[in-house]
Amino acid sequence: MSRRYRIKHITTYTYSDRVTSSYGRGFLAPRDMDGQHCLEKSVTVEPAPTDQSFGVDVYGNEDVYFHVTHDHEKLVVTADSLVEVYPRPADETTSWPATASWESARMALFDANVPTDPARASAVEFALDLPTPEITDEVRAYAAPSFWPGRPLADVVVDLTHRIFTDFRYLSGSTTVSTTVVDVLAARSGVCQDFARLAIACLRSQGLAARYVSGYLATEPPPGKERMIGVDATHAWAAVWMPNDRWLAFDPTNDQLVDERYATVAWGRDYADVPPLRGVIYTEAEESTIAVSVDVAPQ
Amino acid sequence: MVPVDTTLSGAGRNEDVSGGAGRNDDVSSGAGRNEDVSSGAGSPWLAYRGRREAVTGRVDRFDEMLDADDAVRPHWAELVDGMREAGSGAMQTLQSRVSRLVDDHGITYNPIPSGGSEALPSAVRWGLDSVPLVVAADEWDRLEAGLVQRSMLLDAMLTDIYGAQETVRRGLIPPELVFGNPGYLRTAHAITVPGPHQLFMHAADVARGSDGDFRVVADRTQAPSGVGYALADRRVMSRAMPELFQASNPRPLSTFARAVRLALRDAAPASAENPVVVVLSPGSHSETAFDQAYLATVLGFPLVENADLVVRDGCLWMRSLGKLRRVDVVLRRVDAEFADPLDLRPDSHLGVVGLVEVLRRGAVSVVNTLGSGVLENPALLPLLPALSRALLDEDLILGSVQTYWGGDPDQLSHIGSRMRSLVLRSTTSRRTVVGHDLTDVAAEELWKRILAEPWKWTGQEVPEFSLAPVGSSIDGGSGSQLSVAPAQVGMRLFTVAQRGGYTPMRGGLGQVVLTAPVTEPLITVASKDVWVKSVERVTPADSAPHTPPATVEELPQYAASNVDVVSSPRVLGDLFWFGRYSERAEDMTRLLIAARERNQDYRSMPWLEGSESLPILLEAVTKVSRTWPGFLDEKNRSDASVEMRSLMLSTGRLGSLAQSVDRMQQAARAVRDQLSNDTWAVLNRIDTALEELAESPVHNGAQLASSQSSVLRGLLALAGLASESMVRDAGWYLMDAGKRIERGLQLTALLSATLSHALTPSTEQAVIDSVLSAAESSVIYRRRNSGRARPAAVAQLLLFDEGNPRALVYQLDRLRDDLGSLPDASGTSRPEQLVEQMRVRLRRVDPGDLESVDANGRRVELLELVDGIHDSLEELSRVVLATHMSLPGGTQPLWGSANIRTANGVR
Repeated sequence: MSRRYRIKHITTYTYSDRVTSSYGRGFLAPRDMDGQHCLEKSVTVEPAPTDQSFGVDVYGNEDVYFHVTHDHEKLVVTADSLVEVYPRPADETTSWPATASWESARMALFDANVPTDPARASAVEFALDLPTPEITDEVRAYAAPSFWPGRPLADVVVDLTHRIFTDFRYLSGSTTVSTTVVDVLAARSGVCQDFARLAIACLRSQGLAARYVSGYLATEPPPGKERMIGVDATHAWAAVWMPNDRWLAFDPTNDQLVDERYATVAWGRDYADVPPLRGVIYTEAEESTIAVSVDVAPQ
Repeated sequence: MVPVDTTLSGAGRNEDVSGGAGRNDDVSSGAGRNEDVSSGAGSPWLAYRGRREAVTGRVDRFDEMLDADDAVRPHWAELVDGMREAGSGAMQTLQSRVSRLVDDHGITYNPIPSGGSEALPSAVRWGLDSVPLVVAADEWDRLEAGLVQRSMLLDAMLTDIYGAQETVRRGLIPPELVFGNPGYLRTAHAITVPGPHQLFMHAADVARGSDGDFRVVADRTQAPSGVGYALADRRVMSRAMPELFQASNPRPLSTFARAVRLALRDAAPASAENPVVVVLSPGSHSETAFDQAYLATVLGFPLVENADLVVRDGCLWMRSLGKLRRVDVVLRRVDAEFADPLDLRPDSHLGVVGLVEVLRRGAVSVVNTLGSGVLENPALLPLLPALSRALLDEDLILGSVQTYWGGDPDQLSHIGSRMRSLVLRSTTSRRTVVGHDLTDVAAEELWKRILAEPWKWTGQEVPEFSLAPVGSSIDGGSGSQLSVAPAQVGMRLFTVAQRGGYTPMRGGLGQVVLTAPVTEPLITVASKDVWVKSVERVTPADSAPHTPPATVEELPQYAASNVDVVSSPRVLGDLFWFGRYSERAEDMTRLLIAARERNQDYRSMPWLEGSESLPILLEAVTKVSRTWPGFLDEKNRSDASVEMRSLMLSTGRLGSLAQSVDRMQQAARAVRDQLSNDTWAVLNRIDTALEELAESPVHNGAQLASSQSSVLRGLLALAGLASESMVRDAGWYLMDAGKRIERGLQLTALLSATLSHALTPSTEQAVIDSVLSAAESSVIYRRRNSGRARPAAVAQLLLFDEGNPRALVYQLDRLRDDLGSLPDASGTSRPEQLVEQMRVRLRRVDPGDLESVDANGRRVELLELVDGIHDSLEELSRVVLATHMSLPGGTQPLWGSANIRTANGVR
């Protein structure tokens, strides 16, 4: 059974002084993809921008651009969407290519002698380390125990997901955009982006292709309680490339494979490719605060 | 000496302002480098042969001038004969003429300070060798065919990489060479340059091996530099040796300039009817600022910096006196990754926010297109022959210097066994290592790194360069007798996209390179004009309509749309400061001259009447220039020449003449395309005068006097150019406003410092004489007044005389006219009001009252007036800057939205 969610994502920036011009780009609406269909979407900016448009990036993610030229000390970006997500195939992890050895996925990527699908080349992009390298000896050492010779790829991913979930403490607000994977390894704590990035670095350190995925996760209210509005959050997870150009998505923050509770917004090599919002403002203000409210309401 | 990587592109990375690491990567040439150049007997050409071995060791090199039998090759004959006839000593004369012309044209290069120094680079003279590099007609034809084919190939690769990526899918280009290269910009995927070509301009650094074949050392596609230098070199050489130039009749470069201009207009989006083109520079401190500015001037397109541009309503606009003018095409000299802080590097201070969005909508064209730097990956070189066959169905004509890629097992083993003779380059960063220089330990470590990630490395053979004669002293002109010596030379060649293919520059930027010791970057010691010979017409029937060879190559002069260009706040600001600093320098020089003359008089003859005026005048110098303690310190008064010298020469000292001159030149360079070409010769003369002073002994009074008057003459020439050689537009009016404000400031400060107190008649007389001389009003004063000098008469002449161009009222009248002539003048704008208030205040004063003194002998009314007007002028300057030259909405982008991870996971 597919599920539908109405997702409302409100970001509020408050500045300590007048802002005269604000340019922004964001990835805020669920994309269309296998197993997911976005039925409605809108992005509203206040004050009203003089220019706004939607575009599609190199990975097929839909982005929004806006330019606000009215003086303001508060900027509110509201994304509203209705998305339908279908369950994953029941045998996703129990059939080929998930059951093939992880080494064969690596071979399919890099060994030119192995006949593969034409998508191989594009997947290589996700196997390379980031421009600011993240793969260190520590990362390789942390990854190693999950990668037994000949182990099926799905098992490797499930094991890595579980180990990250077990070894790391979720600590809200403990990291920033400049936190590296090595920092996270040392601190043994972080937030969802950090765990996704760690998992990706581990997979890439073994020659596999992995991508960063941003989106939303529908949460269940505790038993007997009403669902509370606005307490949800944006979320991030990872996906690994398998032969035949299939991707297996998994969530190390919650120790599970991605299913119909997850609405995918965008993917890229890293957080920096697909942040929910980024921008440049012209102002004398020295401080800004940000408040994010997300509501994922099952329909 | 300027170490230069001849293999790198000249994107003018001004990374000192962008926060990145500095990088020294351009086609520069600079001052020389020591080399033993012993003089030859008789003709300077005799020694050439004998010296070849010293340059090359035992390696045989191709000689551009002499054939295998040591005979002069036919295409060099005119040049060699001409130079021979000129006789010995002529080479030296020629080289110094070339250097002087380089200075007169203000051709400079900004070396990037090494070691992460924060200091802004100061411009150094561009090195140009006096012997051109001659290329035979038939050899050029082959080279040109190869170059054009190579441009076509790179264009096909670029189109594919940002399009279907068939080359990657089919395995013609290993994916990591695209996806792992920093030049590959994912945001560039949705961007297309209108017309048949994606690659706009291509530069190739070529070297000629001992077999006589040309090979490409590196292709430059990011934002190639050097076209401006090549054009400027040609301009200089055609003037330095007009007869030889005419006799040799090299193919003109102006054809290429015209082609670039056409191609830029062609690159405009289809909707643009009369396209506006701009040249985007990282700023006047970037390495190749001259190259950018000169090219813009030749093309007749405005030179802009990011502050001149703004994105609104999905279009790119140029700021223009509070209005915005739509821009259609940008010739980009800022590295692509710095071009837009919103969608590319967020730490860039050189980019235009929103530019990527405008490009994605097809509302502007930027060339070279964003992402074109991906073609500079050295690992692509060994793939070109196969790519040429696959994409063009042709064999590659112009090959590359042998290069190995570590990602291929066979080539990797070559790198391993030949590491010491290779230059090792990373495919993912700008890192380069010279194998020759490595210690055993370092070599082993590097090899381990390469083995760990072999695809990230290439090894290139050290290129073989051919030999050609050079006339510049490679030792920097320290006086050894000059002669013609052999040196290794290379060339940077250029092509530009046209509707039907690529047009090459029939010539290039020649480079005198040092390869021993092997260094990376390669060191270029001078540039050379490249003379491509025309095909000889065998019979008159063959000849095209006859055009007489030109004696001097005139580049096309396109009418610049100056009205639009000049009015960006940045340009207006630079012109305003140019006006202020040039006036400050002139007034300061006059005052220093007056003080020096008084000092000479009374130092030797202290018994003369009026000697008490000396300390007053010296102190006035300090007060007017605000260079405390200066002459307020008794020690400095007793030996005035030391302080005087410091005020002339200390560039770092605020208020000094040298500082004003330096700031004036900086402002001039930032608006190079606005100023008359003669400006540079004049600025150079001022520099020379100051240099002569710096080299003379401290107490050489005669030199001080002569330098002061040379500087003054230079500044007067500059004022003449401003008055007679510049179009009256918004920029001119603001420059003149700057000049008038400064003259008013200097005058009021001078009067306040000298006439503040009643003095004994003889002292007063001496002071007034000097004040009149500093204010350039002695002659008229003497003509109008006889007898004792009186402050009231001085005030009448210097404050209220509307016919005296040095008078305060004259400055205010001019300010009213200047501000009133600006396109947005209303008559009631704040600056205009301020000027009107000052004029009213001045009008209400009775000159007679100004002589009145209080109980302490202070001329209260006079002081109140001149100090009051001085403050008002300061205020006016601030208001003018804020009204016409400030950029809207604060100054710096604040990264408010991107620095926190906004997502919080759910658990």
